[in-house]
Amino acid sequence: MSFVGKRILGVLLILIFGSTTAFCQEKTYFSDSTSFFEFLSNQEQVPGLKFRFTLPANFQLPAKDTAIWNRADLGMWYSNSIDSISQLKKFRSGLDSILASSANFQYLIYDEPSTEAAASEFVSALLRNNDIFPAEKKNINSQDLVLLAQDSPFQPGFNVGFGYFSDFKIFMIALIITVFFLIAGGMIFFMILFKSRRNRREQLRSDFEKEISSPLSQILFNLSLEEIKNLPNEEIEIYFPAHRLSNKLFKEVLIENIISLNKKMKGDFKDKLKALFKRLGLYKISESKVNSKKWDAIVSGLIQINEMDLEEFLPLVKKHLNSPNFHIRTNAAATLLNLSREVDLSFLKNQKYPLSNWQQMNYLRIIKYLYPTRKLLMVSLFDSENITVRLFGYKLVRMVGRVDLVEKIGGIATKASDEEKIEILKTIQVLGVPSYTTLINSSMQSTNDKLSRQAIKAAGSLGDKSSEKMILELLAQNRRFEIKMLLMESLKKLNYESFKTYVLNEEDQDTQAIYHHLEDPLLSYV
Amino acid sequence: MYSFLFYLILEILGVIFLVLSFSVILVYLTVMILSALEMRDHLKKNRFIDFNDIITSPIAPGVSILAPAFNEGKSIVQNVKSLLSLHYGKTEVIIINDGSRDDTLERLIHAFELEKTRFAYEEKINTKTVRGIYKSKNRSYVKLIVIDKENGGKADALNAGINISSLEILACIDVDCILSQDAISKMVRPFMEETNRKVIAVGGVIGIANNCDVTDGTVTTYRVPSSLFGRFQVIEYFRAFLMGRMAWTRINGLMLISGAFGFFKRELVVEVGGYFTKTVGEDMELVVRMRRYMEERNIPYKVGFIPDPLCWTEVPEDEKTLSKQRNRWIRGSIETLQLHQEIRLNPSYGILGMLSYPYWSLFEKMAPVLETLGVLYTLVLIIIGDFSAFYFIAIFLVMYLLTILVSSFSILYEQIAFNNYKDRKDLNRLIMTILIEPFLVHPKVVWWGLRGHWDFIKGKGGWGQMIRHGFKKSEDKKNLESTLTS
Repeated sequence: MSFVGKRILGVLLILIFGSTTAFCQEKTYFSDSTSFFEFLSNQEQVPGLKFRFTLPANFQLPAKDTAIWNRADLGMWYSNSIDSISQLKKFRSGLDSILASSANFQYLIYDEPSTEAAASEFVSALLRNNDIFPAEKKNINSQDLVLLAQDSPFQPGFNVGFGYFSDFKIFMIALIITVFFLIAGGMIFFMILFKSRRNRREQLRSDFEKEISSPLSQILFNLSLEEIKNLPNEEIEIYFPAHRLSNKLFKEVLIENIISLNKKMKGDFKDKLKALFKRLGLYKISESKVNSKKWDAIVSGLIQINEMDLEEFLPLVKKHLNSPNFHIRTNAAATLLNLSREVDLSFLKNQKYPLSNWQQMNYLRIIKYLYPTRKLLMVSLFDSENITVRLFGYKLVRMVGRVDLVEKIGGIATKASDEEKIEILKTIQVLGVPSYTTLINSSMQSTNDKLSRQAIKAAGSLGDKSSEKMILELLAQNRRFEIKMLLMESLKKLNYESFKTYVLNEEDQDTQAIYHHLEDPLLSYV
Repeated sequence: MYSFLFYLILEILGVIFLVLSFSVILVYLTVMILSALEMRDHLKKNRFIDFNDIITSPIAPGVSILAPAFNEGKSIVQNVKSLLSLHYGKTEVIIINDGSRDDTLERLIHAFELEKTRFAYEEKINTKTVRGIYKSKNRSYVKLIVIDKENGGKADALNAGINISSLEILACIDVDCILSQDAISKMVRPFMEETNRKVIAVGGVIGIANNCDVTDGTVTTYRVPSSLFGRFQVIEYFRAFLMGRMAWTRINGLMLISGAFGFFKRELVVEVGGYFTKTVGEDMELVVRMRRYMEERNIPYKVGFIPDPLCWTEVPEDEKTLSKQRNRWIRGSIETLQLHQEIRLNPSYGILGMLSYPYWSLFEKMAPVLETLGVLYTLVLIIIGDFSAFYFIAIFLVMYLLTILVSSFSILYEQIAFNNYKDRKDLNRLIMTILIEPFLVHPKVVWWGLRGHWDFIKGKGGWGQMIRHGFKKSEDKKNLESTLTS
């Protein structure tokens, strides 16, 4: 057994032994009146316990005894109360025979007459509570410890009750241990199962990959596109045995290999791979994945549809365009972009969720690829209610180089939000379209820091005399280092002479530092 | 009377320790479950991502890599070359020579053909005097900027780097770290994926490079360190990164991003005033302050974490250096928690105030103190004869088994997710370390932690008074610097 296993067993053993904790059971102190009286004789005196004798009411008491006997209300005679057994014995021995035979013995608990059973229980209670301790027998042999132990008022016994509940701490410990072992055991079991399944799966994958690579190459290099399309079932089985093609994992590995090759290869090979994918019926897996409830399966299905150009599944893809799951809607949009014959981008326009940069990056890659061959209606993006889509639209104009759309976005800029103006200004600047100095100049004066910075940068590239004048005005007002640097940089680009004059007239430390920075050739390509 | 009080206190302490033990178990089991879920999702996501797109995309953000260097003369040139060769388009590599007393700067100047520029340096964040900013004449090194400044510590050096950085994301790293070629692409992804919540920072895993083979700036063969302290740190790093931080990421409660490998939104870092130079826990403090800033303005945000092995470093294997490091870490935690005591159990700070802060206070900061108190309590019970062997053995075994369970799971996570340690002997050595660590290493870690507490109480590192008062608002750090300057 492993080290850990031994440890676990150790704790379990503690638990097992712990659950049958030994307890002691109290026995009755006095089994009969003889043992009780023996105890009293030995004890001599018990606090709260006294004794007396009684005589019937009609008893003719000799006159000499009337001093020690009293008559109660009901007429019964009773003796004075006696404190100890020795006094009791003495009293009894002093009685004449007639009296002794007629007298009844009585116990008094706190001066109240009681029965022998009550007196016995009273004394037992005192013993239990350690209010009195049994007097040692004078005649016991002090060396006979065994006998002494046997005379103990306790006797061993097993209480099968669950001991933990009687002690809070022990109960808590038991609870912690139980919870710990249950959860830990569950997790260990799950992880071991997961790991072993994964290992088995990896091994199978590796075996399948070896089986797949050779027939796949043979098909690609030996068969024409038409032959692949019309490949009879019997021939397919030569390449891929039927029992393998019914194996789900085998088909998955096959799909992955086909997709991987499709990414690497060009021209005819791509078509052959797509034809083979369809001929082997692997599209059914893609279809079932897209209809799955698991997000990763849906994404995997979408990627397969995208890579294998499965246009017939576009209606299924469209269902996922506004999925709350980021990865699903990203891949759905990418697939739709890639496979649609007419890309009006209206699905992007209607996106409910904000477009992340990640999505924009993916869409841009596809759009750039499609742009030369397909007509893209980017204009629709400018009308989207989703600001991130509109921003993406302005970026697209810049990145695809659609100078023809600058006029359109320039018109939008007057009513657009600051965030949009920044993107529009960047586009205008990058595409180098002049005649937007009004927009640039007004934006330079904006209180929005980001907008004014972008406008200052644009002014450097596209500004005119009015921009130069405004830059100089802003330089006179602005003391912030960062803005001043941008203004001076733009002024330098717009009119070097004006820039030099400004620097000559301004002798403050910041202006000189910025001047030297802008003039340093090493820093010109920071 | 006094006897009664004494026993009453003992009883109360007993219950407290019991509840604590119970909480520790629950917390660790929860952490294990949360991290497993997060890891599963991360691995699923990674299946569908092609990171090559990011490298050249015009939409990908620019990354300023900041690497402070102090007396790194021997390895600086190789390290900078490694940073310059990372696969990512928009980057600038800013090396900050923090007043090195060796030939770090001279080697850089010589190797990269640097020349002092007339860079217009604006001190947005106060730092020690910057003596010069260098750039290369050689166009091959156009991305490289070297700052030479007076020594002010790592946080001060990073602040100088932040001041001259110009790109959207800051990658703050230790210059001697080995980064994987695709490290930046992978770390930038969470920033690019942000939609409704702003991603303010992303942390990464630090791997242990001791005893590993490194080729072309990447770890090619993994081997566990030969010393017990080294192996202990491998397991500890697995626990911290693959379990702890993954679990906190799951609930967006991450409070610490390692100073050796962390990515931040530059705009926000500047807005909150950069690193706080008066604490030894500057990495944790910055993350907490950035989070406070977002919480105080009710801006939805996220702190991300990437568990992929992307960064490796050499860890100290000698007891003296390790004890100093642990002392510094615990003081860093205490100082950060003191500085931001305003958020403690404050519902307006959400998970940060109600979960992350109390967790760090109890299970990280106070752990050495509580463990020592537990030992003292047991000793008192033994002395007064009220000691229950069953109680003690049960608690001890549960804790020991819990440690083994957590550590084993962290190794299992690594095996399932990345499977870097392929040699069975290495795994066996790690398992053996797990079994003996609670007896041989953990007591020392507790002791170093206690000394950290003591050093904090003594006011080691200065600024104790101010740290004790804490920041009332996240901008207080900025205001403090302005006051000092004026």
